[in-house]
Amino acid sequence: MVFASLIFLYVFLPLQLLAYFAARSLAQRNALLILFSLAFYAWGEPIWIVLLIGSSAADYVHGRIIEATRGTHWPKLALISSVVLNLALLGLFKYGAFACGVVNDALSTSFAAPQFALPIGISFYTFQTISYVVDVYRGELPAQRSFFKFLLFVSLFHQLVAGPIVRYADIAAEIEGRRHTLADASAGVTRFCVGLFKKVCIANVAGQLVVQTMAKDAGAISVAEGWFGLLMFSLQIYFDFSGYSDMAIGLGRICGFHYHENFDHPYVARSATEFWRRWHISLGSFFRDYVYIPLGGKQHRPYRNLLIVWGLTGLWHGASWNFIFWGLYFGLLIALERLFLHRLLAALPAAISHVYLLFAVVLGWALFYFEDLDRLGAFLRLIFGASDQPGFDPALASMIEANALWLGLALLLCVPVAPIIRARLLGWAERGQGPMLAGTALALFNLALLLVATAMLVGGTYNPFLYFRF
Amino acid sequence: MTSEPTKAAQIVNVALFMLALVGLGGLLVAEFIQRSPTPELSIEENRALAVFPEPSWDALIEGRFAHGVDEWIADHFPARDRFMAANFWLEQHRGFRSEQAITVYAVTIDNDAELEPLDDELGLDELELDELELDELELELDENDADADVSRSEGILVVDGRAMQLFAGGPKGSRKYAAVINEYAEALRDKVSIYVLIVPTAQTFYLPESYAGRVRHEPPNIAATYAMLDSSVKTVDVVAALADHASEYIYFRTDHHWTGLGAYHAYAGFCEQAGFEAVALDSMEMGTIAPYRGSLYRYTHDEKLRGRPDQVEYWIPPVAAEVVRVTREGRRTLVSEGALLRTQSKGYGVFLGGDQPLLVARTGNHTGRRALLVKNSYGNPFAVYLVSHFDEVVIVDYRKFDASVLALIEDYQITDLIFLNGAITANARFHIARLARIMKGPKKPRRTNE
Repeated sequence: MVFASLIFLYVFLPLQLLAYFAARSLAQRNALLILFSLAFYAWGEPIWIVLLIGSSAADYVHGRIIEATRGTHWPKLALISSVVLNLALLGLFKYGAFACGVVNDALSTSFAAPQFALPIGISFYTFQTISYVVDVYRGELPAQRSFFKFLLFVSLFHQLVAGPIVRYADIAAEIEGRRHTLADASAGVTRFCVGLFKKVCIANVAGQLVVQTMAKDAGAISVAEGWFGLLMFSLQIYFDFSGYSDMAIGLGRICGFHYHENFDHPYVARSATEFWRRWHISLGSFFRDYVYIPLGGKQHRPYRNLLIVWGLTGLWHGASWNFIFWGLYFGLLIALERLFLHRLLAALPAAISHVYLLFAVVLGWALFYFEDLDRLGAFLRLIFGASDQPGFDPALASMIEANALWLGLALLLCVPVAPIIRARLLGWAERGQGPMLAGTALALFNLALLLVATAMLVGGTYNPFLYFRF
Repeated sequence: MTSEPTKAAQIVNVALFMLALVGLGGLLVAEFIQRSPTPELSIEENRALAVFPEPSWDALIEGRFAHGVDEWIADHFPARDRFMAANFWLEQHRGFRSEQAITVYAVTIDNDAELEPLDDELGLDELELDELELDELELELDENDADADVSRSEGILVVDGRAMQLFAGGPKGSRKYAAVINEYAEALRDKVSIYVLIVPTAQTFYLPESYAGRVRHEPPNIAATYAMLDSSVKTVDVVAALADHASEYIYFRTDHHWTGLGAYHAYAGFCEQAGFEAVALDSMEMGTIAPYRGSLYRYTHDEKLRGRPDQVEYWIPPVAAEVVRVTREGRRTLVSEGALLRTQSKGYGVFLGGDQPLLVARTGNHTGRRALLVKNSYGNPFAVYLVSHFDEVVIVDYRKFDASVLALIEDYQITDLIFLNGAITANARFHIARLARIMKGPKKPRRTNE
């Protein structure tokens, strides 16, 4: 199941919220969350629920072994075993085909990869459980004694499918006991509606425009269309991902969980280093705490560490060379920034570093989009003027004109407007217009976001046929 | 200065949200409780709406049940029409559109489909769905042809308040189509005159110059197909017949079909080949059905199209014809009243009353010539004009007809066999396969050797 769907919004969510708040005790509420989360996952992937539960059980046991045998050599073995198991799982399902391809190319063999559909969320929950086992090993937190509470941590539907990667340490306390306040519920509702709007009304529309430009053959579009498409993809991926995180955080807050922010307006950044402190924060910090620092961080062979971390970051995103290049591309930029670029950019006006970063990131998305390296090459040649395609196309002008209002909104939402809007709304309330009015305005605003997104989801089900089909 | 909304505001916020969720969710449940066991039809979308899936252990495990429920919800969401209308309004107002703006809707129209728009009262049980055994198609497929197998048209372009399908045919389509026609030519050599009309779509006449380099073109494709036909086959240059009249109302603006006027000009071209004198247009009585918003409007919901609906003009030939409709129910042949022009229709269905597997029109003519027209929906307005010249006109819709055309030719003593296709379907795999299949009809079931 996904958040941006009619069944989630109007069947799953109301049932879950009603049941949750009808229940009185924390134990009941936790149990309900587990049940609903498993149902959420099983709805789309009935078979792989077994994998999820099995993987959770394995890491639960590993955690307890580590704790029970502290002071011996067993914890280290358990740690290695857990990490190996998790990575093997991920490797098998996500990277099997890719690995076979690499080996075959290198050694001229012809191994056949096992064909598995990728279980949803596996990249997220394996990382979550790895972080748990490592933290227990390091003594940073006690192992969870209750399997059900551990399962809750892993399966919680808010963050299971698309993040943020929630560390056990961050919600351990809230699993044991949390407060449900009206302020949290209201803020959660607002956050959820905003996220839904971003996903359905911005990201999905951007996606349509990508299909009409960048997705086409590079020999069939103009240079301008290539750039426009790339820009649209940059918008799509940001609003899709951050919208999802918003929804996750909002849903969590309604139920008393406080997940960490995952996106902080990354497109206002002025360097690649800063960008990665604002984009998919939970992933960046995972790699920092569990790979970069253990390898030696800044102290011991920093550039080698950067290479490894960014190569892995790229690889995490997809089982294909282009993703690895994308990761290394950022690793390179960050290394260059560390070496001299930061100082250079600091000496120049801020606008220049903004432009530098936007250009670098947008170009990076081209690497991210094309899994087929030939197509990537053709596209890069197109956008840098090294092809025979025309520079511009009148159809593009029509397309931009026909989407001008939406485009303006999307670009506006890339910068932190929300605080400004809030301050205005509430300042308006302060000035005697009545707090009730401002509050109603907020509620109606959220309702509008919800209904507009619903209309577009319903619109997405429009499926006409030229000739009658039954 | 407060940084949080007040408590009252928070309550309203949460309450409204829950109200929306529970309200619409509740209405959805009500829909579920009141659901009908038989599929309901959507005229707008030209299909049956999804039926709630049967829960079974297998379906649950394989995810089919979940998928079926998602589809059911999509088709039965409360106030679906209103939300849909809101969605189209939002889509059309994401920016600004001038008259000259070129809008391309990346809609895939699947031409590999079977039947015609549900314009009239045909019930579900009258429609048959035959299985197609593609391996019976005795054509050689060129494995080295880099041209992709085309059965889908690549989008809808709207400009100047007119919509058109974008053509995506190619040499492979030409070869396959010509091969099938040539089989007929071989089987009917020296017995029957064969004519082929491939009709271009509006793209050929109304595509903006600036877009010309981005699409495949129909005239060369049609010419290539014609060039591969047997020399005994008479081809009608419909492109030339229409080109002189492009400024007239020969294509609908909101539908993928041509108009009665467009079909008339092709009919005039056909008459030249067949040795007839075409009946003058102004000598025929005319009728109009308005407003009409056709298929391409339904696909795009473009505002410019909605604002300028079409009208369906039809001309009544001076020769009266008695038309019967022949359908098969199991082994029984049912003959019922048919029509050349069904004037109570609300749109394109006025021509022949929609698509019938087999219509037979008997006139009072004594020309000694009897025609059989093998067509899809493009042939409907054309068929109407034929009655002025033949003793009998047999009209076969190759998508619905599933017996033998050669047998029909025998039974009705046909002298003139006419094939009419739109350029897109003349390149479409399914359509070409159907034409091949109905030559002799479906093969008898093979006896197994085991």
